[in-house]
Amino acid sequence: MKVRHASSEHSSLRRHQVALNSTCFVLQHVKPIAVPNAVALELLRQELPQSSILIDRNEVEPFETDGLTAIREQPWVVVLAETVAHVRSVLRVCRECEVPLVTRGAGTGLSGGARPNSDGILLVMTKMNKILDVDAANCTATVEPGVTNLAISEAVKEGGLYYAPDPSSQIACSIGGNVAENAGGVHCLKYGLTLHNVIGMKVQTIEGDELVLGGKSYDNASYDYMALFVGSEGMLGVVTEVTVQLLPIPANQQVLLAAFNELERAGECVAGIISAGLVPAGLEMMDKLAIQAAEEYAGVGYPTDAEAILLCELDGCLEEVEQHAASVEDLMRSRGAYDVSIAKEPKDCERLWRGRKAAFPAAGRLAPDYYCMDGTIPRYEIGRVLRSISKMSDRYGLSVANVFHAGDGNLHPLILFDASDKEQMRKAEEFGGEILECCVLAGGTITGEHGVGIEKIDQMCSQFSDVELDQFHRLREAFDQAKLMNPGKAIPTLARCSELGGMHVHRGALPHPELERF
Amino acid sequence: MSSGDDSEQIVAAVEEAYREDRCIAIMGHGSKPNTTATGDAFVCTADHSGILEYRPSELVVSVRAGTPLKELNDELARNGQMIAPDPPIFNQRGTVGGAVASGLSGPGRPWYGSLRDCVLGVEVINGLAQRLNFGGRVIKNVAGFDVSRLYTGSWGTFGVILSASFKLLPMPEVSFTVEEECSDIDAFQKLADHRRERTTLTGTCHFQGRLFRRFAGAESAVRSETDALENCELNDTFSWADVRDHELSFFQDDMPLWRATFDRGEFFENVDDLSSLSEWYGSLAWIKTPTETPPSVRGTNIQVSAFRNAVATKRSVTKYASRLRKAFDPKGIFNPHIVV
Amino acid sequence: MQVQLSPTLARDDEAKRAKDIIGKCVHCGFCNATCPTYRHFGDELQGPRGRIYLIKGLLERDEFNETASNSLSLCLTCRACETTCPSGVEYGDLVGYARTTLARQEGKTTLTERILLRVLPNFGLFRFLYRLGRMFKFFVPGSLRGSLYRRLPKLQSLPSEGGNVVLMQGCVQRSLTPEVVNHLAHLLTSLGIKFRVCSSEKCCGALHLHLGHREKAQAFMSANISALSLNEGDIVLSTASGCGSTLKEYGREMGSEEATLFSNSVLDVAEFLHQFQFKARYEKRKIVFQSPCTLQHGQKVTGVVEQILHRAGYNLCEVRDDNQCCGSAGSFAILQSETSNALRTKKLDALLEPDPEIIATANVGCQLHLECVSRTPVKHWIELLEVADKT
Ligand SMILES: Cc1cc2nc3c(=O)[nH]c(=O)nc-3n(C[C@H](O)[C@H](O)[C@H](O)COP(=O)(O)OP(=O)(O)OC[C@H]3O[C@@H](n4cnc5c(N)ncnc54)[C@H](O)[C@@H]3O)c2cc1C
Ligand code: SF4
Ligand code: SF4
Repeated sequence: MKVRHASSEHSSLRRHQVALNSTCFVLQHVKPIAVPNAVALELLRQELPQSSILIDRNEVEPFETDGLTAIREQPWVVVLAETVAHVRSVLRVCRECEVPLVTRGAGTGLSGGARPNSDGILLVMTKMNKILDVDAANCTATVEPGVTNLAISEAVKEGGLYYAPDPSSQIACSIGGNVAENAGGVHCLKYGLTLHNVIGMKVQTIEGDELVLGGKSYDNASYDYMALFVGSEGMLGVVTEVTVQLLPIPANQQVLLAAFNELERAGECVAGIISAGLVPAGLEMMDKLAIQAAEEYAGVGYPTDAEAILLCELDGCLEEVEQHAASVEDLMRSRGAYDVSIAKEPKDCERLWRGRKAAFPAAGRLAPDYYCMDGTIPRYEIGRVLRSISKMSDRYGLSVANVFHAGDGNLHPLILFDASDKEQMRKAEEFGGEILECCVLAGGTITGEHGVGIEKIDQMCSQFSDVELDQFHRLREAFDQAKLMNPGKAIPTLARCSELGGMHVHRGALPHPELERF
Repeated sequence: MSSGDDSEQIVAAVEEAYREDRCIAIMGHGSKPNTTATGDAFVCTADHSGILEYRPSELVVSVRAGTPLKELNDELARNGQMIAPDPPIFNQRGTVGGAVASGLSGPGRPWYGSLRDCVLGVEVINGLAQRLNFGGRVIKNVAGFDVSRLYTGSWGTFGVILSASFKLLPMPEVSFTVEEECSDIDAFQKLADHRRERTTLTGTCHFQGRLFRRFAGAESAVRSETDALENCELNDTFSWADVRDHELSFFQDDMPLWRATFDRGEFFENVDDLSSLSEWYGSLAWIKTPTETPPSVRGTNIQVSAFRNAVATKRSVTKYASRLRKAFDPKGIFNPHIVV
Repeated sequence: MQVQLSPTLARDDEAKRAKDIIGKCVHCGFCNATCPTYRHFGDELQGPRGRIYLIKGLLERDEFNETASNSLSLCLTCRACETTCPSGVEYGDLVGYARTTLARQEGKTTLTERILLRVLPNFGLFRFLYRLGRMFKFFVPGSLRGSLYRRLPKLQSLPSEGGNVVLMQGCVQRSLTPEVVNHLAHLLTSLGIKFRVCSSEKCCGALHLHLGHREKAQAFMSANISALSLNEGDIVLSTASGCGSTLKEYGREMGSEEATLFSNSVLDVAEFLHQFQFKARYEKRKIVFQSPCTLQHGQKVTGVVEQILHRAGYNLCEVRDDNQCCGSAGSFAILQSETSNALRTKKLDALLEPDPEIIATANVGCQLHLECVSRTPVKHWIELLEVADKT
């Protein structure tokens, strides 16, 4: 099995293919017939070092999927970019030859956002992993997009600083991917998401423009392009440089670990802490299955017989931390915690978080596969929604491990199943869909931080009306008129939605019945 | 508190403009200078007001655009909460919608974030007279593009904001202001030291040779920090709301007023001896000039805009800005005189 | 991750085990973060997650695959990935399987590989050629020349006093750094512990195993098992963590009861000496400890040597990125010298950051690899100890 293309030069045919692609967004299951584009390949070979271009089946196969392995597709070509010039070359080739393009960071995404197209190029950013500048005096750092989230904090640690958003995957995920997904983390309750901590970036558009957005100033007179690009799932441009703001490492921190006999009680305790006006640095929850899996890996001393635990971090000056820790402890006990312990040494705090951060992959110990959901709900609904999920779990006959950013109301039920069993796989998908709908009904959203990607594209139809989706499409076209970037992701076509739900009813009313449905 | 749903009239007005190819200027209370409209018609959101949902335990509020910001703030304060970036209320007027559309933040910006940071969702009418909802009432939401934040600071050029949801914060336990005499360079250096450490600092204001610093948070923390300061005195009459709303005597004249923002680490070096007031570690300066000639400022990446009694230099429209605008408002009916 | 085994492998137990190992992988990519080659190249194909994916391809198609072969030959088998993996994927076993399969599918071995496999484990031949190489450095290929800096030490045979402690001497170690075992013998004697050595000891099999020559490796294993003919309660001490790591695998590799007894008897010397009190041979020195991958990831012995050294009174400094391989990795330093040297540079930078007077290590491979470019002396940690006076 060598190079996949034959000798053909069907560029007109390919053009047709692309047109088809962009109007009906190829579904994951229906792979378009790959028509090789000899011209595009030739152009790539002229502009890039040979070692950056992968085309052999065996070379491209490991790039066919990201953190959501149920969705895969082999890319036609993989390019490992090393410089901005490489990125621009790839964009130019894609533009001129109308080749679909998917950008990939570290490939830890959980919504299939970096899943390639079999007729497209996958642009991989991991080789662009240099820290370009650390401005310690002003607490900022400028890095290339392939730098991992954790690497930023490590690079600035000496200066007493760190980068606050810490997705559980921080050891591996890239800052470019964080920007594209607006990643959150266990410390985002107090310190905000990626959006709140990225202050500037450079973006290359498919039209060949370089946009320099934001910067070190506190506000900008122009439109807030940054807000648009953060969380845009790689559909508007390729991020080639990111400037983040850093925070001084807190002088004091304490992590409280509370054990509960009932999952719901823990959920209600979260609402209690928030409504008491306390803003913990992190507030996370895990249920029994998750505790057991994480403990087996990390051995950090979680109570494995508890039905649920809450981890609550407080930071600040000593008096403040002590004062708040006491209030939180009281709250926890009065809301049903049967045991509360407090870690005060940085090493001990770090240990408690380590188990939490490894909890998703550790769930790989519980079952061959898991399906990670990402709905967000108002915090007062946590207890109720968890109860519904556990009922669904009984109904579907599939176990669920819960481990999530409770303080943000961001649930992560992990549905455990065995993908080699087709029936289980189908059930898991259906189960997941039901959880998300439950979140939307509770006044929440289908995705809090993992993005829509391909995975939740159908649920987008229930969260947004056709006119809203249409607005998204127009926004996208402002930057990518040919719709070549990340085609088929994040925003469903109206056709897809109407196929799905017939005429789905949105917020009680049929939206604009006069609108044309193609 | 005032309350009323005027959305149907507003939608109807936009529909009419769309059908008849007319332009409209969007107005809240008309409190901000330099936004005087010249459109063919007005859409005023003032009658579309009231709180839609407020659950103090959830730290989230949803509110109609025409609600006076002051009324909202009062209601939140009754529950010990606040919109932390604290947008200004000029001329004692100003609506929530106007605050979102202008995207301005108060003196706490570097510490509490900007207004867009705490906007969770909006309901808007775009240029096709479509009523759209983006974002929501939960803290985290990455479904679809973040349109609600894009509307923040869009000065009405993308359409009418009907309502918005904000993330709230509990008000700090205590808030102390300390005052000292200090040249601008000394002030700047003093403030730079704060950046690298955890502090309860939440506001700075320097003018007429005096530096005011606000420390707010848990009482224990604030006390331990302010007690350690030397050569400063507590000032319990200084009003940060007056800084925010331009009610300080500094702002009480008709001289042309300019707003200049600087990169972190830079500040306004007042070479011409103009009168100026700075906030945000020095990164924001309000500068008064005797004539309509803009002040001379030095440094990288500085943005100077005319704020009052001065004419802004016409800005050129960039390719993507005009495309974005078209994406929301294909016929260009909203606030045509404004260039963002 | 699901693997659809190729029909040709459907009844192959080894393949099924490999499939099960991959089954545990959830493709999260955490392992990439600590993989030295991924960090160096920034390329999915040069990290554990990509390698696992390539091995998945091997299992699904059962045909030789150049990409997999190249990628696996750049894998250090340091198993940092295994330590990092929250899901418990046993990468070490998986890569062993894949290498054997690739070697079988390809059916040929490169000349360098063949020479290495022939020479290194053969004590006499190795010493002979090494000496020759030093005399005629000029003819030695560049990638090897660097490793010829050491003078061959004189051989000295150890007394064998019986007792239930057996000292493994290792093949390369016995040739190039016999002072380690000699010093250990001295320590044991001072402690009043009787030990024996085995004159017919063979290479542990690690080299062959890593290059996919499983049968030959197993032959070495059998030979050692019968040569040592252990009894219940015997303790086999290994001073080279690389060998120790393999010796501990005998049971799993061979499956026999004897082999299991053998591997259960093996201890890294740190695990044994931990119970005794030592004093510093070079008092109050500032030192760093380079924990070899075969010790921390392979044998999962972490913090033990550090404790011994600390208790002995050394000023032991922390080392940045201490989970990273030095690039030695058995024959890797010779077969992939470019990558190996790059990793060594990084490792030395990290080790020298606290400005230590001595670099301590626990494996002969790492010691030689670092020593040939380090101005700071590199010693096996055993050599830093003296038995403490009884008080
Ligand atoms: C175990 C585990 C735990 C996780 N925990 C969290 C968590 O706590 N919080 C959280 O938010 N997420 C979490 N995630 C999800 C994931 O890590 C994040 O979404 C992360 O931001 C993805 O980064 P990446 O570099 O892997 O991006 P990829 O997966 O490679 O790509 C994600 C998306 O970003 C786009 N993209 C990547 N780089 C660029 C670029 N330079 N320019 C433009 N577009 C780009 C891609 O096209 C794709 O759409 C977790 C994932 C795993 C496996
Ligand atoms: S064994 Fe070492 S080099 Fe090989 S994949 Fe694992 S971490 Fe990387
Ligand atoms: S860390 Fe483990 S589960 Fe995750 S990709 Fe690596 S081997 Fe697979």
